[in-house]
Amino acid sequence: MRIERLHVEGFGHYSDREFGEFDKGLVLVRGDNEAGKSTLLAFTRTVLFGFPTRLGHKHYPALRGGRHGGSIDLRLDDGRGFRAERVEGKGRGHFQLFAEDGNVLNEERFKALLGNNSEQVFTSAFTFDLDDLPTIEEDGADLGGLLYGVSMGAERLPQVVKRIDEQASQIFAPRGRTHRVAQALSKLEVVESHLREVADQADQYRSLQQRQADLAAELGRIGETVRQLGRQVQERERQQAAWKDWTQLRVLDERLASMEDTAGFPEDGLSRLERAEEQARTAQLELDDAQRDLEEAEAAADKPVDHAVLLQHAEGIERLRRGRDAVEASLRDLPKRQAELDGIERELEKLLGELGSDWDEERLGAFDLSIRRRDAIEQWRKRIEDRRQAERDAEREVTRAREAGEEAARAQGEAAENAEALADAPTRADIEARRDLLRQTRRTRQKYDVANQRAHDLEAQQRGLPAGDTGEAAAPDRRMAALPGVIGALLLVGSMVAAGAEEMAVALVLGVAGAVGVTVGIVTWMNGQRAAVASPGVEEGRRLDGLIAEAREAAGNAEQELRTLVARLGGDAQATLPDDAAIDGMEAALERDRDRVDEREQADNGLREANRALERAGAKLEDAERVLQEAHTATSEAEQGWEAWLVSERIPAGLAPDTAMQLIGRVEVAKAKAHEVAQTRNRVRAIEEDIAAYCERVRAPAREAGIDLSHADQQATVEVADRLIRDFDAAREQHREREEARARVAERMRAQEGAEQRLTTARRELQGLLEAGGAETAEDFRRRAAVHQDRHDLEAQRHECDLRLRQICGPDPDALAELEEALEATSLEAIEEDLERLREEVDAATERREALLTEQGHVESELSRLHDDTTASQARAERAALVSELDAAAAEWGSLTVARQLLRRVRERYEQERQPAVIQHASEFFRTITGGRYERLFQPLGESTLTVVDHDGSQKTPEELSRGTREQLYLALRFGAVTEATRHTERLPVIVDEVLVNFDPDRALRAAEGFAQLAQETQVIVFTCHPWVAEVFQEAQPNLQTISLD
Amino acid sequence: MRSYRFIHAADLHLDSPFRGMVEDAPQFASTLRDATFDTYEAIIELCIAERADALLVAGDIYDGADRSLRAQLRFIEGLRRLDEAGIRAFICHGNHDPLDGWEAQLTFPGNVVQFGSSVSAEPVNTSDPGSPLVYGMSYPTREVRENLVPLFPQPEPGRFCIGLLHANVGANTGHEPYAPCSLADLEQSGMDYWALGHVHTRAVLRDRHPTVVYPGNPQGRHVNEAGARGVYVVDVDGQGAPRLEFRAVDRVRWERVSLAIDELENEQDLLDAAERRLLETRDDAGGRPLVYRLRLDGRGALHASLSRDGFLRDVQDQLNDRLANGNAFAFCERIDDETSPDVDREELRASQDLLGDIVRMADDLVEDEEALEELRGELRVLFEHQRARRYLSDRAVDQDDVRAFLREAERLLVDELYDAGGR
Repeated sequence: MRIERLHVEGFGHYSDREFGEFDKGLVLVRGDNEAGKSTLLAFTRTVLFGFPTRLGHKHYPALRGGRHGGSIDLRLDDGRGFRAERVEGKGRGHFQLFAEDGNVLNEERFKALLGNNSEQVFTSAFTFDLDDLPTIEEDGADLGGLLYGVSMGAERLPQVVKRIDEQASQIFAPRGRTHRVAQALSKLEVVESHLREVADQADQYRSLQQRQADLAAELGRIGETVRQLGRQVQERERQQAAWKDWTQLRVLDERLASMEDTAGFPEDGLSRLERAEEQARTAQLELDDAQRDLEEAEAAADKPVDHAVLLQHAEGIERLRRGRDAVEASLRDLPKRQAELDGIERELEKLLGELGSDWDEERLGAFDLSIRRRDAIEQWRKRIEDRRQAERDAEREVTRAREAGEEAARAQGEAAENAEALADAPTRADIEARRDLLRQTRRTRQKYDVANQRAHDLEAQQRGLPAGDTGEAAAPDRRMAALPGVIGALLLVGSMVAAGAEEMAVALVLGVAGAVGVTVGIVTWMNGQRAAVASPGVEEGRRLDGLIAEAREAAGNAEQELRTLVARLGGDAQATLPDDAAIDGMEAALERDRDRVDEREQADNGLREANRALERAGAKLEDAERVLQEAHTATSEAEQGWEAWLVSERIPAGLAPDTAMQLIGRVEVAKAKAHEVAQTRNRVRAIEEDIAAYCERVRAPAREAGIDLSHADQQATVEVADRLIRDFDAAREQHREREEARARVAERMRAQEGAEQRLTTARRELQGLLEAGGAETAEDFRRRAAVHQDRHDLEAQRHECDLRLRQICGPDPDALAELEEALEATSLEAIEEDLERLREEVDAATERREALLTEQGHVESELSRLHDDTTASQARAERAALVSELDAAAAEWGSLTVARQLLRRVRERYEQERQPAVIQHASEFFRTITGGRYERLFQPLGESTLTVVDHDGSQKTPEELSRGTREQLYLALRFGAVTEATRHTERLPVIVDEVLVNFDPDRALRAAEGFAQLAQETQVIVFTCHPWVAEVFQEAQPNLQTISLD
Repeated sequence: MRSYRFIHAADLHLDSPFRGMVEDAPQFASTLRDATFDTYEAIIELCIAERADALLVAGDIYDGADRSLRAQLRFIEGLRRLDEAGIRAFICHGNHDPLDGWEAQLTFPGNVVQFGSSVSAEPVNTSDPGSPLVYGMSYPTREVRENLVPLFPQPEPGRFCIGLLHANVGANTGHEPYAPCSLADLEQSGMDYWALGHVHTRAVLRDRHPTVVYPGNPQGRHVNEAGARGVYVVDVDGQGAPRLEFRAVDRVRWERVSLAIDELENEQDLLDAAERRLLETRDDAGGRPLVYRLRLDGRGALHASLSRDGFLRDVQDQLNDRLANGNAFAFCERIDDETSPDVDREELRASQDLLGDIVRMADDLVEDEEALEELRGELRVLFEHQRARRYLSDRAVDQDDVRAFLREAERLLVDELYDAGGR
């Protein structure tokens, strides 16, 4: 089969492109990198075998439009043609196969046409590139597998085999110890061991059950023993407990029989007797107390009250009591206040003396200390002070005006002297006039200098001109210059003549000479012309003379003018003409004169100013003197007004305002003191009045009490008041007590009656009790009561003994009699000995029972533990899991092992049936490719590797070959595999991509020849981007078809 | 005769562990470990709830001759509850719990009839002279290879007679041929009802004259005991006609769940589809906890992913993350990948490449007994390994096994090489 054309509708960057027609044999497809060689290879594979179904495999989407896919025109070996078309669709794409007759065939048919070669076979055997070549180096050890993989479309077969082996050995290896099976078996042994251990649980449980039964039986027996012993102990304990009561009961019975009979004696008689006696005694004491109280109350009720008369002055006495402290204080305070009054009266008197003999309290009281007066004095003081200040100011002003006038007069004198000193200075107009003359002098001097210079220059110019013939000298020169031109012209004419006579050499010489002559002539003439134009001539001399004369004249005029100006400036007109330095000196003098003009003007101004100042000072002095006079007048008027005011205010005359203010201050102090005196006097008077009033209130009760106060002073009167108060309080207390005693008399009388009744009752009860007790006296009653109590106590003791004995014996009516009978027959010592012995026996039995019960608890606990123990269950579960794991591992290993065997058999069949032919084909190719260096290759019997035979007969393994040679060997094997494949099935095209780049040129050529050789069997399409590779193939097959992708 | 009701159970295998990769589920370990006990409890509850007259247990109460102590104790406790409820119990022993096995010194309650090594008969109701009679016997030892049916006497006429026996009826039950007998033996015995045990898959071998029933084991313990498991509630009317009703009492259910990958594009599709299927399955199981084995089959693009190392384990983990939680868990014990590449086997077989060679060679070998024997020899190294063989006894390799291995090997190689070839 060969590919005739590729129609790409849309695949990678190809869109609607057609390639072909491809030749039957070797076809070279050239294209640079990225030109699309891989795309075309993928396109071919995709159309033939379908789009890849897995993610990750490159789909080469139609990047530039068009249906994704396309078609391939194919030609079978038998000559039939088909078009296979595949575009993207469900699964591996939509496929259609068209026969040349237009029939449409299905894909299955197409697969048959492809010889049932799978995509893998096509990919691995019929298409390969540079990357495929090193495979043999990596997997050279298993050449058979490699060859088989390459030939049969599973190049990774060796890896798969290796992986299967690894997986199988990880699961199980006969001598391994770490594989899954071994691990599971190890774990199983542990679990089995554990299960054997827990299997003992059965025996353990059975023995525990037996022990549980034995324990129950023994516990039953011991229980019975303990119970019997318990009963004996109980009996002995009962006897022991009863012994004391039983013996006491017998003693009590004897004592009771011997005692006096007190039957009918009142119960609790003794205490009742004592209570009755106590009641009688209490009643008697109460009666006595009541009688005494009554007597005391009656005495108190009749007791007289001292000073009863004061009770009628209760209110007055109470007022005296309330005022008592105040009057006491007043009596204490009065002397102090009087002394204080004396002191300040003296101070006042002193102050008045200081004011003057005519001052007394009255005048003080009348003296006006009002703010208005003080203010008036202050105003007067200020007014007078202001006048006096104005007066002083005016005096100072007069003094200053006088001094200013003197200063102005002095300045005026100085200014006048200055003005006098500068009286001879020129005027400003003179100065300006001289300045103008000087400017004219300088300008004229310049004009004079310029004219002289010009005349001098013109004279120098005049001296530089040739003397007389300067205008004609150039003419013969110009004529001489024309000569060579003429001669040249003649020579030219001669040359033309000679030329006409055919005397060429002559003509040429003449012509050249003529031309030179003409040329020299023209140049000479032109120089002559330029010299004639440059000469000044006679006219110029004359013109210079005129100009010199003009300059001399101008200089003369300027000199004359200068001399005039010098004369006007006051200089010597006939002296040497002033030069610039002289003019500068004159200007300096002018400037000095100008300065003097300024000074004189300043002196004049100063004098005028001094005159004016003198005038102003005189006027100012006059004004000041006038103001001073006015101030004197005003001051005098103020002082007179003040004196008049003092008189009007009745203030001593002659006082200055400040003195008047001092007087007012002193009056104020004295007046304050007078006020203090008045207040103190009022207070002393008030105290005296209070004391007098108090003493007055004492008089009436005192009089009632018979106290004479006519000669008593105030202090004595107050003491009487104290006495009255005390007497009044005593009288009031006595009166109250008497009233209370009267009230108590009735109360005490009722108490006395009650006490009499209780006494009677008590005595009656006492008598009744004695009668009931069969006694005549209390002492007799007490004796009988003691006997009765003893009897009662003994009977109570007997009852308790009897009761305890009955409690010990229980409800059995015969038990007490039996107990007493038993007690009769034994002793307490015997009972206690028995009891001790029995208790020891009980303790021993109990201890044994406790031990057995503890053991029983342990046994039951252990049984319960075994009952609930899940260890065995867990171990069984673990065993089951491990068995499952083992089972799964075995199944997996079985599949892997059989798979390995299956592969082995498949390969063996291939190796027997087809591999020898592949190696034979490859051997031929290898010899061709290596140029006969290697004769052949073969597979040693029973080995999976190859051996190559050198041309000298030596043998090598592939590992001993160079890389390039190994790749050639691989290529040869490929060729062999393809050749062998084509013998058995449809010959698919071989498509290779860049396989020669590692070969040296010679071997590359031979490899290309190998391809050409293979192309005789089937179509071979070679992709390359290397020109040299293309050339190699061209050389290997001169008529090679080459298709360019660029 | 008044009507009677009894519960027919067998093969309790108390304290029998689950098999499979359930050690991966420690959170459910106690549930799985106690499953046989819980199921037995459920049977006791059923007897009480249904007011049954008797419980018949046809052997293999325990899982081994060594009889788990815990199993015996729990068994007795259940019987005591029946005793308290006035329900009688008739038990016989089979190959897993023969009479010569150890037994704790436990006293059966008075309601229990434990048949000995020879046939005896006991009425269901001692106070009813017309009460059904139960004939039965236990295995004296594990290896009972003779037919025990002839040892049963001709039953008493006029009474409904039940034969209680642990036996293998027919030759091809998939179980050890202990106490082998034929259905004809049973038909000729004269019994009205054969309450059998031993075969773990429930089966009514004959519904009348006599009724022959295997109730199966009431709790599946591995994937080969998948589906509903339970007991039969048998009502016998006044005329002696039995009516059977199966009651599922299993506490944890094993299931095989198959899922075709043909329409699945990716792992997410696979997980979603599996989850839907499993939720349906769990609903079908009445909300019981599930332990399942997922079998993936069919052809499709997902096959390549499934072949990747660790992929199946990831799927298993993710399914368990989604569903194996709470009381009504659904735990994936294993995933079997039986999917194929998206390629037709016949197409492969016709191809002139390695895969074609493999398929053709496999086909040749399956038919080649000599080659099969050679392959068996290769496998013996493990399956007859001194230490391993006792655990792999169920996998005694015969030629059929080798054929199965061949098919699996073919599938494995096609997977590997199809992928390696880049198809």
